[in-house]
Amino acid sequence: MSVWLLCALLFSLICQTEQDGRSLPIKEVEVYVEKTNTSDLGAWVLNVKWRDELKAGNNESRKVSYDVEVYYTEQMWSVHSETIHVTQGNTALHHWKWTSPIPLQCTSHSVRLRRRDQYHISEWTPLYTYKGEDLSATRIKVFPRDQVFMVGSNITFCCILEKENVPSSDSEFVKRISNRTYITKSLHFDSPSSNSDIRCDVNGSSYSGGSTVFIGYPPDDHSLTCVTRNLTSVECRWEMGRDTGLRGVRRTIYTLNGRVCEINKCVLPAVPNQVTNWTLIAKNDLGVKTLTDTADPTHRVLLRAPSKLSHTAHARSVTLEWSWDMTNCTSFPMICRVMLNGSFYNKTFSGKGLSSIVLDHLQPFANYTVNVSCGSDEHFYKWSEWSNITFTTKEDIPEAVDVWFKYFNQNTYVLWKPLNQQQSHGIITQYELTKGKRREIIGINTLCYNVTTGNERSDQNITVSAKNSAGLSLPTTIIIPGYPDNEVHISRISSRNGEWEYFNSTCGYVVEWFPTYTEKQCTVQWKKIPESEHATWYHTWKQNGEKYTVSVYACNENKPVLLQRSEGYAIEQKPSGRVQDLKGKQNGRNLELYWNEVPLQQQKGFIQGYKVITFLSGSKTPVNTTVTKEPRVNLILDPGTYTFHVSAFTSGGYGGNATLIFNMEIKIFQMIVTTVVGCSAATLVFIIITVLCYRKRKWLKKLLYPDIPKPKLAGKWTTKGMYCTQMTEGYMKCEIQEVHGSECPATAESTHGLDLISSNSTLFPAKHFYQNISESPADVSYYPPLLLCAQKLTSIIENPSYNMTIPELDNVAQISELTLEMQDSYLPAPNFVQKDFVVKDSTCYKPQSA
Amino acid sequence: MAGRGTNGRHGLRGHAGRTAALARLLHKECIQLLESYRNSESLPSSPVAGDYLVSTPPLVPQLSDAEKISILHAALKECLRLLEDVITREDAEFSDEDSEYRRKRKTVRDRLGHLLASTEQLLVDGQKFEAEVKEELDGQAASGSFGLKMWIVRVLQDLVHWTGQTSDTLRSLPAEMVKAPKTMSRRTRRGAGKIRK
Repeated sequence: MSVWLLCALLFSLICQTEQDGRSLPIKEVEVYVEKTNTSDLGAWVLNVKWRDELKAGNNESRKVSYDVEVYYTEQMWSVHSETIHVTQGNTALHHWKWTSPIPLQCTSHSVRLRRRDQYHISEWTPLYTYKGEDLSATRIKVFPRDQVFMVGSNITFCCILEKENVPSSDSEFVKRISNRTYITKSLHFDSPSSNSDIRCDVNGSSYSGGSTVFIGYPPDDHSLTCVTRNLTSVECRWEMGRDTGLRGVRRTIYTLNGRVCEINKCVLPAVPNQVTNWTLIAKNDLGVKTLTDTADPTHRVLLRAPSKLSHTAHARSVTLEWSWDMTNCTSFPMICRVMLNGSFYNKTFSGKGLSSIVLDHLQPFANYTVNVSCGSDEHFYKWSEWSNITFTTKEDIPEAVDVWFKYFNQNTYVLWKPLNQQQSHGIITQYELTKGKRREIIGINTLCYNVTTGNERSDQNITVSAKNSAGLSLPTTIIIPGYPDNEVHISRISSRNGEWEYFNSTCGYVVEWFPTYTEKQCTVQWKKIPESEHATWYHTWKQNGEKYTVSVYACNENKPVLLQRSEGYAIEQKPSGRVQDLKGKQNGRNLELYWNEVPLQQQKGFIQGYKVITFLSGSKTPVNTTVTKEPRVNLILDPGTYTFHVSAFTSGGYGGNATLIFNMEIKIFQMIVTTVVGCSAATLVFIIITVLCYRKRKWLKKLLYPDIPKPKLAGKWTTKGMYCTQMTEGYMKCEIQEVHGSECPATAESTHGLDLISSNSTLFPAKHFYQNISESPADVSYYPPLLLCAQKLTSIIENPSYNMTIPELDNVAQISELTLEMQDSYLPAPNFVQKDFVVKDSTCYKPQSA
Repeated sequence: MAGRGTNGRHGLRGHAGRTAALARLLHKECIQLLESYRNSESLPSSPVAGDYLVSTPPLVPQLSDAEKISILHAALKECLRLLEDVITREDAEFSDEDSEYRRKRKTVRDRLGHLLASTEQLLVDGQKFEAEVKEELDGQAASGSFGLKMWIVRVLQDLVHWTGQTSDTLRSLPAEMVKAPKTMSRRTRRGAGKIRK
């Protein structure tokens, strides 16, 4: 027994010794999650603490590593392994954190470690486990839930089901990591949302669980500014950053110096004359933003707008009064500015507790809108907001009336200009005109009054005043000079337009003008020019092309003296009318065109000349263009019909064309002379030719028509038949027929047997024919104009040579001696003798072939 | 029982008609409110599982009209309490920003108050029945915001149910609604087994 005990003890000692050599130095391992407000809804960080028993010696350090492995406990799936390198000193406590991709509540996580140094590697510690809720949950649970995540986060959810339940087929919980836990893929949230839900539906069960998470941003506010409006409290404001996307209990909470604020405003008590720090903390579940501002509140005075702004208006000034919504304002130095009808008033106002100001130099009877804004005068920071008020100043007497006069059609008129709003100082009710001791009340619509007395040669003293509710204006006096004796010389306005010679005037000058051609008694306009100003006047007339008469008067003790009068156009235009009465006057080849001027009102400028364009009628190409300054022009033209276009022109251009069509005629005497001369010349030439032809007639005949030799007739009869037909115009057609066939046409009515007879025909003038017949001994017979048949020919042939005996039929040889007559107009006899000629029948004959 | 003493039989019938019309209108608005909430929270249109939160004695045919009205009145009263609870919790948890859903929610709450006051005038011999809420929000709180949403849906489903029941019951009232005798009320009380505590 003792032996066994000894052996056991020895074995125990051996084992102990071996274990010390490779003993496990990692002790007091602790695995936990940190407790936070939301850790129960999803804990992500696993903490591992341990103590290493192998401490380094004093003042000694050595490098040590620890291998850490994390498992899903139930399936023993390794989810993380890592080697941690530390330099181990005197402290042997170690703390390692690991962030899990899924909430640690989803399933149990186990951790084991081992130590590693340069000499040896320890064994693995036992598994230390953080228990998941899948071990204890009694109902369906989803993690994480009710947590806040930054935009852009990737979140993996897990769903812990009741035992033997599985997620529905369309659920996002697709991966099983323990008996009861299923997880989703990593879901990406890329936009803020006040809440996002994920459901965990159970297959075959109507009950489902789920989770809501919140996606947003941390606070991003800026520009904290603190001001005081009443010197008792400070109001701090800041610019809101981007929307965090978080609402309700997860919204951003603001605290200023520890005091909870409204959304973008916080109020704290002010401590005047003491530099104060203001710290704003904006905080939500995703982060904290701290803003600060430092200042003495008296340097940050931003007064409220003056309240209860009131006015007391006069004709030319107004008193403004207001109050302040602060208790200690009376000792506070202020400066105020005023905006009058949108423009800054020309001065500012200052004073302690300023609450009243006076604005002067205002227009009577005018509407004003006044804005008042104030600030600290001692340490000016910013102007307050505007307070505004609208009022109307009271009426004052009108300004003096601008008076002038006008002669028109032997009458004298007094004119005055209506007063505008700035001049009338109220509503004009009437005008008063005084002439000597006579006083006239004139309505407000009358601005032109006839003051003719009948004795216009003497000066008249006229006074005019305007009246409103405040009273009469200062009177305006004008001394109207007597009607002028002589016509006034009127010059044309030149380049020295509007200047006049210096005149010793006592009350300046007056320039008046009116339309020259549409003058009426009240159409005159005028402008009074102070004596001090240069004697020059410029005015832009609106009416282009309108001729104006401009007069310059010098004012001498209220009596105008006419200095000069001119006419002209402000801007010339082309004439609107055409020249009048365009006419032409011919003198031989000279044509004088003349016309009357364009009507005055249609000239629209000074006529500088006329352009005359000449066209030949029917042509569009001008044959002549002439420019003339006079209303007439002389043209030299050939006979013909012409169209003339005449247009006047000014410096503004050419006016319309006046058109004249004129026919340049030839004199009848000239025509007769020309005709006679022409005919005489033709006759003379004819006579000369006739005489020459007569005198040279033989030569001419020989040349053109030589003599025809006479036919030689030997007393034989011809075997030819001649047929003549009366033609038109005295011609006869004769045919000489030679009998070829042995047979005669059956009847005389047949068509001359042309198929049997070859014929040579010639046209002869009937006269010649008859002549030839009479002259020819061979053809002495007279042939009637009718065609002859062969039978008749036979009868003729019986005695063709008048005296010759009729040859016997069997004396054919003699007949063959006959000389045939010419077949055409001329046939020389020797060339046309046919010797073999046989006649077989008395009535017909047939030539024999040679 | 405001007005009950002054209403004659004819007046009571007229009032019952107006109450029925009010209940019908409220029923439609509750349906719209539930739909609006589901849309705003992107919830599925299928009903959330679970029984109705508000529990009453069964509305069996043997009950008189007055007893039915009393039961419905008690249920609507609990519905109003739940709705007000919903409003408080929802605004605190999520957002109190103005929205179409929140405007409808206020309308339903106000009209439900009117319907309660109106049905109260139809009660005979006062309130005889009580309703109870089987599942309070606190029990759902463990599920967090998601649980709150589901609970809100269930409250709104109860509103739809009980306003519908009220509308149907009031519409089916006979032309002459006779006051139930007191003896019948007592018998009904015993039969229903839900006596006001």
